[in-house]
Amino acid sequence: MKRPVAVVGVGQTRHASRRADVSIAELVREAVDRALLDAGLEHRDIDAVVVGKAPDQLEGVMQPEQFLAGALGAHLKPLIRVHTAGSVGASTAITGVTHVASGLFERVLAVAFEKQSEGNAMWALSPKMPFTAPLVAGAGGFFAPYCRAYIARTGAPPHIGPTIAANARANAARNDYAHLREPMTVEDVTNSPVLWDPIRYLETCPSSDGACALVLASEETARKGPRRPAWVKSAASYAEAMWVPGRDQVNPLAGRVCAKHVYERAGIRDPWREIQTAEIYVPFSWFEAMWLENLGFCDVGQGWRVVDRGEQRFGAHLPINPSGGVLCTNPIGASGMLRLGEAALQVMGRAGDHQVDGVKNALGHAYGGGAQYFAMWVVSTER
Amino acid sequence: MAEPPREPIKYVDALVRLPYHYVAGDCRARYLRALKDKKILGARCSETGKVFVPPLVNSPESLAPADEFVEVADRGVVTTFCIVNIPVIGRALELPYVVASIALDGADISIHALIQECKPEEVRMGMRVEAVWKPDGEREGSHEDILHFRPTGEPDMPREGFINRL
Amino acid sequence: MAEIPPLHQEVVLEFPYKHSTGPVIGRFLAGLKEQKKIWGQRVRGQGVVVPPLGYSELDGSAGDEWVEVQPTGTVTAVAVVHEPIEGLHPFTTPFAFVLVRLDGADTALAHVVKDDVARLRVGTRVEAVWAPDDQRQGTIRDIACFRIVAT
Repeated sequence: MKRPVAVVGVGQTRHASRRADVSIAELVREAVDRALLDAGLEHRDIDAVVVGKAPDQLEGVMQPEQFLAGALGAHLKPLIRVHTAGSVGASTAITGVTHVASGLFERVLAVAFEKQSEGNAMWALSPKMPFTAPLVAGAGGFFAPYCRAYIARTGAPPHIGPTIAANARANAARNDYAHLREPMTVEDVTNSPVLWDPIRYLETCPSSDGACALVLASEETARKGPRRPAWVKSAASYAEAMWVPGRDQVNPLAGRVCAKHVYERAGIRDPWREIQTAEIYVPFSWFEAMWLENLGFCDVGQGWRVVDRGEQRFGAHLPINPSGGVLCTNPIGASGMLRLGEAALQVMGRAGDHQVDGVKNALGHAYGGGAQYFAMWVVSTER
Repeated sequence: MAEPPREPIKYVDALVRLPYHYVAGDCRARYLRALKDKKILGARCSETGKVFVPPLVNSPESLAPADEFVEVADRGVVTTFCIVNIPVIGRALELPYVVASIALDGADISIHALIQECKPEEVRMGMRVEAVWKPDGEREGSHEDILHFRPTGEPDMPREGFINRL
Repeated sequence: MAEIPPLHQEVVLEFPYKHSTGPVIGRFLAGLKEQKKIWGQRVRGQGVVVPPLGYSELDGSAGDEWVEVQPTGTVTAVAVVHEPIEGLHPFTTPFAFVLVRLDGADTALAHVVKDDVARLRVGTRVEAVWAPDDQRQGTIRDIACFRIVAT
């Protein structure tokens, strides 16, 4: 990066299946107010605003960045909208990082949200498309075959998916903001209905209303702030084409390339030893095992063994999603920013009851589309 | 009291209706019209020789034109699948049903399609399947011309043939 | 390559939504339904904003002092729709979209004028026509439309 960038403020809303108490603008402002308060800044201190969300048909409000300009405090400032499907929250944060790294802006507000209760995500994400084969199974039906392929390739036993889902819930119980916090056992998950075999109901992310906001700043601002910032050591996003022969959605090339990029720039040679916690995008249980491999935390075929040994649990070697992650809280557009924001909170030492001990480096990760977009950052206690 | 009522109106309902008029483009139009004749067309990359179904105008990999149309088989192998147990809006299919990735013989990328005419639990990775077409005179040059795929009864493809394909 | 005739397809996307209004717009709508009153909020630097937002568009600060404005006002912009589209527009006969700065307000409200649209000009005085008591549901159409004030 051209110059150092730090996370100086993190804010998020309470997440729920329906936040009927607030409009979209008020939901967004709840996260923005908290991020600004956290940073010890006000709207007038912000030089530029970046906002992201998933497709507009989720809420039926077209180009919400227009009517939200006032709510975001963007009057007479640069405002841009980012969209990269499920990874958008992470891409939005990374766009904020490049704003600051460019040297053109000192303090940038990055905001991501989704108010899924206003529409129907299954409809909105599977619209009738002209001249293409009709979609037949919804989002879970799109991703379940890749989970099956993972299981077939690695010989992972069936309890791995439920183990991941139950662990996510145990983690969310420590996170005041999480949407689903009620504990559940591996047996509860195993006994829940199979929706898209091999994915069960309790292995599937919820549909949430929520928002997240980050304040990203230059070194000068970060040094003057009230608290220890999280330094962005590296940030990157990569896309891959939908129709590449030999494309591997179980272990996507763009994900591997993106991870390699952020590790190299952060000076990390062995992520398993040098990263202390990771917030990764796991909308369906099995993806946690798949991404452990894709992100280079273990060899190909070994992700499920990491889970089976419990090494990704809270208090173990590499806690994954100590916040509970996407399986417990999923306002789609905000989910990626929540991953990056939670990673930042971990290195700031302010993750509350789900704080992992001794975090120096943390990875934040998101993916979106048909496993097409990847966006990640490595944040650290040290510049 | 100089204020509006304390209790807000909580919700406003809205129905958004968006009519569109699309044009397929030459490449997709040729592919769709061929379905009427029970032919599945792919496009061959002029550089790598790989075949895309449905056809693409250029390879996303080599970026070279894929301007040679070739016919691929209406049969192939199930590379992976899932069994759907919940209703999807707009699909009146009896549950459970199977959605599979199918690598058609002669194609280098897979399509997604329904597997019918067998029990869901009988579907396997590596299973050979064939297209079931709408009867002659009812096909109109759209994806619906293929009703679904069904098992051919041929021996399964060996594991190494499908395990790393999706 | 031989000329390929174009292939067309009509697609209609239809999505139902249930928007949460929140406490500010929610109370504004309750005022229309239950009081037949139009409420705005006084916001620093912007005067009285109708419909209210709950925050300043200028600096993002919060604002929450309620002010009742009049159901009469002045048209600040007009767009006449001569050929309404069924299912899209609120009327089947020619009507006008207007911005109305209500008396007591500093911003303009977007609404419709149903009749007499040929006489509408920027500066024309208009008044709200309320939907009947049993038909007001807590939406912006509780004001059925605006009409030109007889002079």
